[in-house]
Amino acid sequence: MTEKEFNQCVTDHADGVFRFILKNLRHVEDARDIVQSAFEKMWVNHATVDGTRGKSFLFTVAYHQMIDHIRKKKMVIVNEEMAVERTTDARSGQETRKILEKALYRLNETQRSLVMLKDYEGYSYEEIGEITGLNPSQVKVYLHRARQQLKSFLGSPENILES
Amino acid sequence: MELTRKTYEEYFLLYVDNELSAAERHGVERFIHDNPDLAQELDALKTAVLTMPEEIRFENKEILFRKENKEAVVLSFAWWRMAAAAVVLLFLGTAVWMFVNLGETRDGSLAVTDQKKNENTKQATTAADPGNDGKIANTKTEVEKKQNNSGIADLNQTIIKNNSSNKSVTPGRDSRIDGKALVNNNKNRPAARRVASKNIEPATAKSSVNRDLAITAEASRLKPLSDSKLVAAADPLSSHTSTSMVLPVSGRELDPVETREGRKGEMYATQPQRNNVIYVANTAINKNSLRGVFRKASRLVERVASLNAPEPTNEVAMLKQ
Repeated sequence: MTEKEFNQCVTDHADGVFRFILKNLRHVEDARDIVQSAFEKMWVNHATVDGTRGKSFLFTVAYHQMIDHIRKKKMVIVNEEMAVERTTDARSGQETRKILEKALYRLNETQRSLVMLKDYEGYSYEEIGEITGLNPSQVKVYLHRARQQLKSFLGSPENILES
Repeated sequence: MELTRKTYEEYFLLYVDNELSAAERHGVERFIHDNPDLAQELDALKTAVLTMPEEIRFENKEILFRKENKEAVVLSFAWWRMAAAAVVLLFLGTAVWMFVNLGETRDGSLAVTDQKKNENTKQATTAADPGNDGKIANTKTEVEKKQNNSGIADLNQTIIKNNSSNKSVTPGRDSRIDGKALVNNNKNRPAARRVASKNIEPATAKSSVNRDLAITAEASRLKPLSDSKLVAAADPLSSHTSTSMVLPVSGRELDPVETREGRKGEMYATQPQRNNVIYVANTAINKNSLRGVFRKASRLVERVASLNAPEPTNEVAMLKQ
């Protein structure tokens, strides 16, 4: 990876990596630290990093640093009992989004990361597997489970959301 | 795996995750069209897809940019390289020192060499310029006197012979020759001057070969037929006087009348004696830029030394008497 490619990677993907980390940690400064650390690591290894794989390398480093960070701080994301959502036909998109974000934090960190990597960045199962260290089949299974949970959280007509 | 009502759930998830090919996606859409009761199931999965929070941005992104630092190439300067450099410097210094010394040696021997050449030339000169060789020989003789007074007697004989041959030369021609000769004699100046600066008092160093020529010529004019006077002028005791005279002759032609009437107390070269000057432009002189630099340096030293030296006394009167 050349200097130009690295700086282009900063321009193109810094926001995405930050978004991914921040959505997981929900702490701005910690997320910034992890992003900076990820870019620093990529710069140190830029001579050996393929210029076309910069984004994947960046997300991989950031993901693992985030996992380490969570474990060090023993961050326990309480799996709140899935609240019963009361769906209404007139629910706005903004409300749906808020409910979905709330549902997101009820997933475990691996599922949440898989969903975000898939939905935010559009990575394939294989690419997500490279980033997270899972094989594509595992990614597929974990992601499907997460998606079913989110759907259940959002949509069951008989459930009522207590927000 | 075929898309059926039993397997549709996985296809719907793959559809939402955008992991199906275009054909497979069309197949799912046809399936929904054929099974509208499952369309709500697909819509529910679509709703569970996160949307990109565009408002979240990494502020102050500039801190992440990097610029490659070109590492400076550091050449190891090993001891043998230092030694090689020292040897080269020593060699160059020695070469320059030897070159300078060689140049000075050539200058010192130039007068003697020129005298020999002039003596040879004297044999081959035409009838119009018989005295020129004598003039140069006379000039060179004066230089020689500065170096070694012991050879004065022999040189005086040459002077006497040259002066006796001057009588047949016409004044007009002599003037022209004198002007050229004075210019050409400048080439011999460094040699004579350097010798003078070494062996004679500082005031003498100020005088040039041209002045020496003028002095010698004047000595001949004052007593053109008197060999004894010239011998006296070349006498070891008076040689210092004749060589140390500083006269205002600087290559221009002098008016004999003015010289005789207006400046009787001074000695100038007059026409009958000017024909004692010959062309010496073909004299072998060591010319190069380095020598020129040293010549300028030596002139500067002489000039500074002459500032502190006493004013030359007009010792011409002694000669006249």
